[in-house]
Amino acid sequence: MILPQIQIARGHWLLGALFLAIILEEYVPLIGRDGRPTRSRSLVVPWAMMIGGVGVWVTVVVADVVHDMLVHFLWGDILFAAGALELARRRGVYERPWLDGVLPFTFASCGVLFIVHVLIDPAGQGAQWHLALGILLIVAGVLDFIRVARRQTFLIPLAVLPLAAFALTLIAIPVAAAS
Amino acid sequence: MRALLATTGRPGGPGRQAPDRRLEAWLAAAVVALSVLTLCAALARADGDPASDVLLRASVFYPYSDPVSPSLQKTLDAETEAADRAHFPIKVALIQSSADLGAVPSMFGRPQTYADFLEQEIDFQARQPLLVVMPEGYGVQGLSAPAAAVLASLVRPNGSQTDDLARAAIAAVGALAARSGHRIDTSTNASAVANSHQSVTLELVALAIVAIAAAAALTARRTTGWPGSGGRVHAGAGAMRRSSNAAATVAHGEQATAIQPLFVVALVLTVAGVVWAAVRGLTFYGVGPVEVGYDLDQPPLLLVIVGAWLWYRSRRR
Repeated sequence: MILPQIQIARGHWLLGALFLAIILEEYVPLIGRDGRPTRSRSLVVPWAMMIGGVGVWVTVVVADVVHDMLVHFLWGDILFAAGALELARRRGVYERPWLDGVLPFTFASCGVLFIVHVLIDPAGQGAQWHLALGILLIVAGVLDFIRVARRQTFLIPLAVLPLAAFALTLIAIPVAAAS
Repeated sequence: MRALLATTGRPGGPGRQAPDRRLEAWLAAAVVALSVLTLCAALARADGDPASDVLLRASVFYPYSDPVSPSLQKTLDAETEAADRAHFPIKVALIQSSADLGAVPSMFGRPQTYADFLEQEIDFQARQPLLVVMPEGYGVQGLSAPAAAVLASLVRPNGSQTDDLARAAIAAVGALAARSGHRIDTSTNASAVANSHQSVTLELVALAIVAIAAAAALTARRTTGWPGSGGRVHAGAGAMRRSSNAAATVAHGEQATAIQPLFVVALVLTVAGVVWAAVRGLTFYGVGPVEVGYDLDQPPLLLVIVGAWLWYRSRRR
């Protein structure tokens, strides 16, 4: 099956908007009535991750390039597993100390997969942008790992910046390419 | 897997904020439904005709098998660029044989049918004029009835060669533009103008990133105990808020931020989306119910939707 370019672009910017909502909801704090900053810990975030994972899995069905299928399948695996773990944690039924590292690991590993995608097919469409997107995710993952490990950080984690840049790039590049 | 199974086994916990959870469940269901609908739309419109891909980046689709002569290509390209500058952004598809239709060869010889089909695939940003030229004649979409009626006065291409189709297209574009009230001036250098849309898009995105960074910098404060890094999560207690001594230090040792950071970010995104839509040109977006529904997945409106969601989520709880 061959999807028109516009459907590919539409898929990318929808995923970008979903991701933007997720990371801002997750990392930008709320100031409660008592003046305390808290993270929302919304259930929407893990659900959105799992839905995004399923969406990426679906692309395996319509993809016609083997390495695209492989990379998208692994992206789906990571997103769905991370979403399931976060959902369990936020519902209060599963808690382990290492769960703090789930989101950083997810960002970094998805970034690595971007790089793998480019290495397999360096002449593919948008290879440079895929490389940039991968680097942004890896930077975000590393920054978030540092935040978790040091337990001293900014009110708004620094990882928000590369993550927001990633999401906005995911929205903008297909638009610019199609304009 | 154990964790996933566990999530399905316990519907709630003590201290859970029921209305919020119910709303979030509805929102999650809405996201699922939208995703499915989007996928269905993608599959329903999936095809393999090359013109639909080429016309997303270019204004003219030229046949593959028998190239149009360079001089005619140059003339037609210049004319469509001039039409674009005159606010008549017409797309032209020259179809010489069924091979140019890829997966839909059955539409060869039926220019109007193919124009109807092609328009559905390339009008994602806005409805825009489309001209299909085949040896059998013309097909149009995105034009007013009086403008489309001009085609009846045009003669068919003189032959079935690609150059014949290109000459017919050059005449047709001029006639359609004139009938639509647009004066085409081919003298202006179009190279800079052609790239302006793309550069504006990238500049706006860069602006949004800088704005988010500025918002974050304005609201961020150095703390020693941000609750995301320390305390344990207590099941069901206060909607999974972390508790730690460090968090208490934040609350009592420093003055609370007056403005919700999430609100600031939401405002930035909403304004960025509106500005983006305005810069692109509000004429891209219709105001009818169908058109508004169609516009919902457009990037500027997506930013506004994300902003509205964060705005809602920024309320004090």
